[in-house]
Amino acid sequence: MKDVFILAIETSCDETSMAIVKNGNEVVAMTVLSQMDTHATFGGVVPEIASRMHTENITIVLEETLAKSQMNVSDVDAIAVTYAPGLLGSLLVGIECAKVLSMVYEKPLIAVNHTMGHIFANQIGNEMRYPLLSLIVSGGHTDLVLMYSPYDIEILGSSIDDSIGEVFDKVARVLGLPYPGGPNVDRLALEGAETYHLPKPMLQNDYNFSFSGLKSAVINLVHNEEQRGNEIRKSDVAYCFQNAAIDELKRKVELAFQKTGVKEFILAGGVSANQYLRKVMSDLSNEYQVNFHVPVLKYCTDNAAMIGAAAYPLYLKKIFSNYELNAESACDISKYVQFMKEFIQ
Amino acid sequence: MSLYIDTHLQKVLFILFENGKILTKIEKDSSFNHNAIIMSTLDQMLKGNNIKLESIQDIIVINGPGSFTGIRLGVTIAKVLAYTLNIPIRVMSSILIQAISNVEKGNHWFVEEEKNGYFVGEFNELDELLNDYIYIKRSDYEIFKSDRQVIENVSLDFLKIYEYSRTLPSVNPHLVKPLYVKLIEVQK
Repeated sequence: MKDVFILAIETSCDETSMAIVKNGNEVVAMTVLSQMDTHATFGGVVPEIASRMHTENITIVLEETLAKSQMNVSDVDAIAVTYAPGLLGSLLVGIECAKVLSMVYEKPLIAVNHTMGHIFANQIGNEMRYPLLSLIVSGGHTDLVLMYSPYDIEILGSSIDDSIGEVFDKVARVLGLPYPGGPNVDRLALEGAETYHLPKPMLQNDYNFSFSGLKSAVINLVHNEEQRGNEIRKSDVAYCFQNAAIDELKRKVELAFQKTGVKEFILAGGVSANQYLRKVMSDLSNEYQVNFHVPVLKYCTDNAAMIGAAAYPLYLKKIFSNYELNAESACDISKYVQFMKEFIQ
Repeated sequence: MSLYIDTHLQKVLFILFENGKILTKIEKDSSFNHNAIIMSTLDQMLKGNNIKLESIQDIIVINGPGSFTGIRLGVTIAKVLAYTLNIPIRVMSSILIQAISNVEKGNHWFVEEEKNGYFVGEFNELDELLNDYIYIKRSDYEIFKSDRQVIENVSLDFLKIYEYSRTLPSVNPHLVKPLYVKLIEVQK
């Protein structure tokens, strides 16, 4: 079969990224222009500034990606772009760029769900073998899904309140750690010990997650200690919080291992960069003799290569978009799952 | 052929100029949902007139001030088009095009109204901007206007705007930016 090259664009948050991906699993070239330093001065992502920077940098990132790949846009087979979920103003810049490229070079346009991108980051330099279990952990999502193929997906469970990434960021803020909070909690926890008692999130024995109770417990703990005039051992708080949160993820994954007998497991999303989480999931997989895979770090955080990887199965089925494609700020994967269900029937 | 792109307020406007004349013009009310109609409107204009993208030799884009999203999208498509087609791009402000269009020349202020206020700029008789554009809140506008020569509701003369654009230098597409003028909360 002829090789398929996809030029992918990702601008859903504070990274302007483009990549050319071959056959959904090989990155020919990738550029990621992070705005993190700019947003760090404001203590978090400022949506208006994020979209301004995307517009300023969009052709520069395109030029750099083409130069690295030694290809032209005319050489690729399709243009893929993240259309949801994310910051509306930011998504729109990438979408507009993709539409122009699609028009100028007469290439099909492929709309990609960002969360599916995180899953397919696991396909880069690796073969995803089905059926597989995927745990998606990011700033917007905590989902546990069972995939029988790229087109046949069952959502086992999701967070019923805050996402795991949100809770990490909130805890980081309460502890006064700089933005981005998640990686700083991970780092600080390395020096911590189990000296505080935090309640374990305990939902019934289903696959849904809940983290808001744990979040409130951390906030109360820090406030109570402050009121008593006690010094807060930040590394211990980070350690206890991280253990409790990740234990909860582990419990659900273990339940899925036991109930489904699945032998392939992948981790996806920005929080999959968390070192402790990687270790816990790797150990658990070993215990159950499950093949475990997690993307290399640069494909865990937001990047266009994963969008190109997720666009590949859509390209194969000719699931193309058009100039009316609009951005959606909130769009969970259930919409994708539903669409695919109807499509393959 | 020159492509003129203006999406700075609630409308999407494309004009194709050829030999100093308007070849075709398409204008749509997007109710600020530019993204959904902008490229299909351009596509419709090109196909409807049987024009290939490759016959466009340069681009003129109105980069603001105006709606943040509006100017961002117009500028994004203009710069990606200019970059990929490898053609010159020229930038004009939504207030300059009023000064150019206004028949009676002199020292005048021109305005662009938005949701909560007005973008204003002062021009001389040669249509040169005298100072940077400023933003006036709606509540301050009557006082601002009271001791200045402010001209409102200029009807745009696209042939004059096109002629003026010929005198402007083209800009590297990488450097084309929207003109926001108004500060956002975190910048204050």
